Amino acid sequence: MIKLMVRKQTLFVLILFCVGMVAAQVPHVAAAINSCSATVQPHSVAPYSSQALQFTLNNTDTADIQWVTITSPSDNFVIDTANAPGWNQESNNISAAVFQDGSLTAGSSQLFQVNIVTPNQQSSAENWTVEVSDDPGGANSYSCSGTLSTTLVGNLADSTPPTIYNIDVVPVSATSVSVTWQTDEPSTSIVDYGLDTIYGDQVSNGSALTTSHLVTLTGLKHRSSYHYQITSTDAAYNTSPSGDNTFITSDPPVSLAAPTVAPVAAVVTPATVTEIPLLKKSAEKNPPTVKVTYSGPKVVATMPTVAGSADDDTLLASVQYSTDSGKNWLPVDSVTGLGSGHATFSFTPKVSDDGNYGLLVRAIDTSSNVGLSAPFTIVIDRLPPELSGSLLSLGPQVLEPGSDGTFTTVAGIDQKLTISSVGGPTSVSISAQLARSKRSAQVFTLTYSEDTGLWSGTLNFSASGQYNLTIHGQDGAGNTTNRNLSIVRVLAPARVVTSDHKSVTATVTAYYQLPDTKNWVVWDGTGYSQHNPQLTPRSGTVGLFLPAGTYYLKVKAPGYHTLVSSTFTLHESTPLTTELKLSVAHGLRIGSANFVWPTFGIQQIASTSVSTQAGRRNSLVGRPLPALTLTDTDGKILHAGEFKGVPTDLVAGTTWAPTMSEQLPAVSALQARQTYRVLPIALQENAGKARAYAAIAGLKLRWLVDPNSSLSSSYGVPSVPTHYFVDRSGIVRSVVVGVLTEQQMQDMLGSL
Amino acid sequence: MLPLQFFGQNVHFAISLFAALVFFAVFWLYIDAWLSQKEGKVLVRWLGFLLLAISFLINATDIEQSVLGRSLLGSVTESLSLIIRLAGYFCIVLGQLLDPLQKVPHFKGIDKKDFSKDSSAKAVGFGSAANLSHLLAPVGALSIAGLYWRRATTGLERHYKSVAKSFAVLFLYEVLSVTHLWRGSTNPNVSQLVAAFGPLWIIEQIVLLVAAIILGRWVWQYLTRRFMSQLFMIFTTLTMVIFLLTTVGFTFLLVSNVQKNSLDDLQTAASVLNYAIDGKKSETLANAQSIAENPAIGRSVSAQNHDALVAQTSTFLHDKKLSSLIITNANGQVLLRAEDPNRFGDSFSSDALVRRAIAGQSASGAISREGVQSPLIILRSIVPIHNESGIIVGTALTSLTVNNAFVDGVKHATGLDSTVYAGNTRSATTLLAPDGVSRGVGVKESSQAVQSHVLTGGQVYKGSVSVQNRQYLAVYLPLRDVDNHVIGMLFIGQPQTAVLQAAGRSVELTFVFTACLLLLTIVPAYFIAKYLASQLE
Repeated sequence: MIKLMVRKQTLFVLILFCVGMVAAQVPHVAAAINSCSATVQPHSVAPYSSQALQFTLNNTDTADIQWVTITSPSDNFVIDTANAPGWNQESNNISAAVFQDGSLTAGSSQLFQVNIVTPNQQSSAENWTVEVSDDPGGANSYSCSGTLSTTLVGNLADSTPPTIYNIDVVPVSATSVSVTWQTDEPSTSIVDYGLDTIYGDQVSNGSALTTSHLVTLTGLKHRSSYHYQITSTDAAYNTSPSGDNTFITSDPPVSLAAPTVAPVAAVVTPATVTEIPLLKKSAEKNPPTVKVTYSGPKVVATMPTVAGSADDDTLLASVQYSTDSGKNWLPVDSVTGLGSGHATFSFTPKVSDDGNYGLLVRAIDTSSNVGLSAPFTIVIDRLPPELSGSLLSLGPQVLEPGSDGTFTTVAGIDQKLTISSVGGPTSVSISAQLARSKRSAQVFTLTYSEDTGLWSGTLNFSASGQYNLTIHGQDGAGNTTNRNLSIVRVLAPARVVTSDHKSVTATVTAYYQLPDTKNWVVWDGTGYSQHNPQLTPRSGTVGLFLPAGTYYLKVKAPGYHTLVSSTFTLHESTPLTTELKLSVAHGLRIGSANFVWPTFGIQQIASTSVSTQAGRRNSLVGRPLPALTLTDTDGKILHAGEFKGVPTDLVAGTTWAPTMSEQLPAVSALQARQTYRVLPIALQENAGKARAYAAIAGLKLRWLVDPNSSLSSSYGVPSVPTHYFVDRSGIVRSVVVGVLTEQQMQDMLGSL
Repeated sequence: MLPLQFFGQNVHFAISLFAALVFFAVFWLYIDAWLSQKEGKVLVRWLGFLLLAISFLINATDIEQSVLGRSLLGSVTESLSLIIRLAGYFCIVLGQLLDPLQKVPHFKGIDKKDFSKDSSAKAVGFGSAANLSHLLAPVGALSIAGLYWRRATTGLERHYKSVAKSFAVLFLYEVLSVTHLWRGSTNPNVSQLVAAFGPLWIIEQIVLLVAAIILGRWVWQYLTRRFMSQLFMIFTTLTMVIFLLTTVGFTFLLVSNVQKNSLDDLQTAASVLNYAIDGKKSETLANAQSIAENPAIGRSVSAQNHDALVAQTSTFLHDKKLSSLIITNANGQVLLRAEDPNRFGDSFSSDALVRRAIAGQSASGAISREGVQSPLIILRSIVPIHNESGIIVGTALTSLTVNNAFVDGVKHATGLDSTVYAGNTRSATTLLAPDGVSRGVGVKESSQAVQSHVLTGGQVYKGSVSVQNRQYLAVYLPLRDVDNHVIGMLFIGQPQTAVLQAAGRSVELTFVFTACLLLLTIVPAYFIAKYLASQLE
């Protein structure tokens, strides 16, 4: 008996201990609700109506419900409002009603009301979801069981939109019209209007329903073609838009006496008013004819005045011209005869930069018909084409040249060259001549971007070696420029070779080590426009230009041992130049199966594959500063001879190059110190732009500006920025390409 | 989620804990004997097994260098575990040497050799020669295996055969542990073989489990002989199992919860980014309005006076931190370009915004433009300029280029990486290029799912994506122009590892805390067992 009692005691203590352990471990895991039921009343709802649904929720669990969410089955039941006594409804969610800050005690039940709006359609039974939780925030929610289906049944509402007819536009005044129309059932009246089919303005008569509509548009522009659209909505919210219509407003004040061609800064003189009758959209389809009578030279120094005439079988509304082959338009400076069938006009385009201007004149009649003149080109030629301030970039990164100004790259990959121009070149190309080679030069064509105002193109060198890049520019007047740009050292790309000297098609895969998990993954080259894994061509070249990181390569080819390289770490974007050597796999061939002895050997790849070697010395070094006459941003003129007495750093650059935004703060700081003469030169840019750039960047800077690109031929700026360090006697001591820190510049200047 | 690593970490925890329990059981066996006799040599032996138990307990809390981030104590956890283990081996070897063989005398020479090796480990000390101590551990385990085997075969104590076998397997485990030294190898085959959670790591865990099972079976048959020991071990084992299940379950729940919360937070952050863009848009609009409502500028525009406009707006761009201000007349002809004051007179009449302004409407929108390195996203606003009699005489167009400074601001506010895409190309980003210095601008979005969902479909994308080979939890929003066309994307994200690291810290703390609690529960378990046993007697 005693023994038995002891055993019971043991068991009890044991259980107590275990329970204690469990309780100590999981005090925070609350028991979730896992039993409840819910029903909805009514089960059927009429289409196109508002309805209150009553949800009865029974809490059959032992815990209190503190959070309830009722979720709509579909868009057929859009929740408008919801309420329940003792609960707060949380959000304005149209698909779910969330009740919070209340409590439904264990074993009790409550009504939850959800007001819904239904669309004008029928649907089969769909189930609502009622989720509850004992957590006020809704954690570990439980979905209640029960009859929760609702159906959309009943008669559908009116779904026929009103029909619009008898549209008419009536002029009220020079800047106001009335639009009238009729509909077959009472509906609202709305007119959208604007200068194009985007409209943008709207006039409506509110919610009043009528079959005869009148809407007045005010504040219209003179002599403009307006687009408009009528919309009428009936009591059942059926809408019918009319489609696009147009009308033209009357002519604005036009000077009948031919005005002098007003410079932009002049005040436009007020003129008498000529009214042109307002027309509705008309069936007249004949466009006006336009003739330009310009017989001056095609190549000019400043834009000439162009004259001409326009004729129409009805009435002319306006004459406009374009200097960009029809992209943008401006009214001609002077025109006589608008409102009649014949008009004469003249204009002087306000453009002064060198370039080819595609001129076009158009006349518009009162029926919105447009007639174009024959296109003709006028070339402004003040300067020969000059190209300067180039920037070489590879994918997302700017390629910086070595200290000697020589760029290093690898054959077979694309790099982008960007360069600015003056003198309005119409074609720019770069020829790359391999040094000490009889091969004909590779030519790359650059294209002009309207957005940036710069020329850019893709360079891709076919073979390794040292290339001299020459840039060629030609303008519309036939002037050409040829200039040495820079020297590019092109390395041979990585290549797959085999021990038996056969060419094979191999699969090369680069693996990348994730910096945080140290796991190896196949490198994703899509962001860098590269393929990985890639199949090599028969020549075996591997075009991989890897960004910084730790990698290894795997090369597979049938009949050869799979090559695995050592892991290697790159600290900057580096082209792969290693020779990858595949050895023949000697294996046991049984039928079609080939058993290859595995190898564990690896090929070493050095962590940095590109080495820089000394290039040629800049030809300016050791000589007096080449002649230059430049204006600074304060309007002062400086000559090369004046750069004496104080060590000087001339920093050739452009405002558009990303490298310059890194360089200029240091230049500004050194300028402020006034120990040395540090002057940035804005290549091919004017003083206004240089001043504005400094103002936007918040820098106090004195620039030299070279709007006519007088430097590029004598200084041969290979890239931006290029620093020219000039000593006290005016001799160039060194030329450094690339961004320098303030300290580096100070050290260089201090040593002069 | 990287379930493999996470699962591996928990398996490592469980197996190490089990090994610790087994060594603790052996310790208990010896201390039981020692308590009755209080012999010095047995003291060394139980001390050795106690040290081994503690060593594996510490080992259990060690987090492999992985997604979970660095261990709480850094590499100290591993070193501490190793040093204690070496001390444990040393004590056991010492205990064996002090205990004379029954019947057959032993070879002193061999033992001396082992002995001197172990002491050299002590001489070398903690940090300087961690590699050497790595190599000493297998020597220690092998010595113990040899000594027990000799005791079992040469001597009479046959029952020690299992112990010898178990230590032989433990020797294998220690040898496998040595491979950790090759984790930095430049041979990818080798480094992947020995990597944490790699094949050798898995074998290592299995081997430890086998060693623990062999020793566990041996010690169990002795412990069951005494009621109190049996009771005590049942309590300890039971406690451990409960702790283990709770801990493992808790860590899994924790990670999935953290992940879910992070994605929800991202959605909020994405809204913040969108809001910031909208804010910048209204800023450009307000600035355009301030130009349009300036009566002096209105007069200059009416008079088409370029020089007056240049003077009136000279500091505007700098003051308002804008990148461009263009004023046109009512025909769309440029009267002023504040960023390039010498260029004017050309026409903007076809520009969507200019057309709206000429029609009397103010508007704001984003556009994508080609740039030097990558396309740019520019926020533009336009306001019509009226003269005194209310007639539109021109327009004021302000623009702001969304640059890295903007996304830096978002990162500063939310702590999350963000990117603005023009089309599918990164235009401004807080993500650095892999060199760690320059920005990853110009890199194209590689995920097809994101492109089709956001750029083509115009919808919000939420989920896990690979960004520059790194897994991110991310949200992408479409960026629209004034006509509601998608012209780019906004990205906001967090590296998935950062999310796991946050959880990892908690997981590790849980492991350490559990290990400490386990040690604490042994005391009451002992007293309960003792009480029950005394009641029975």
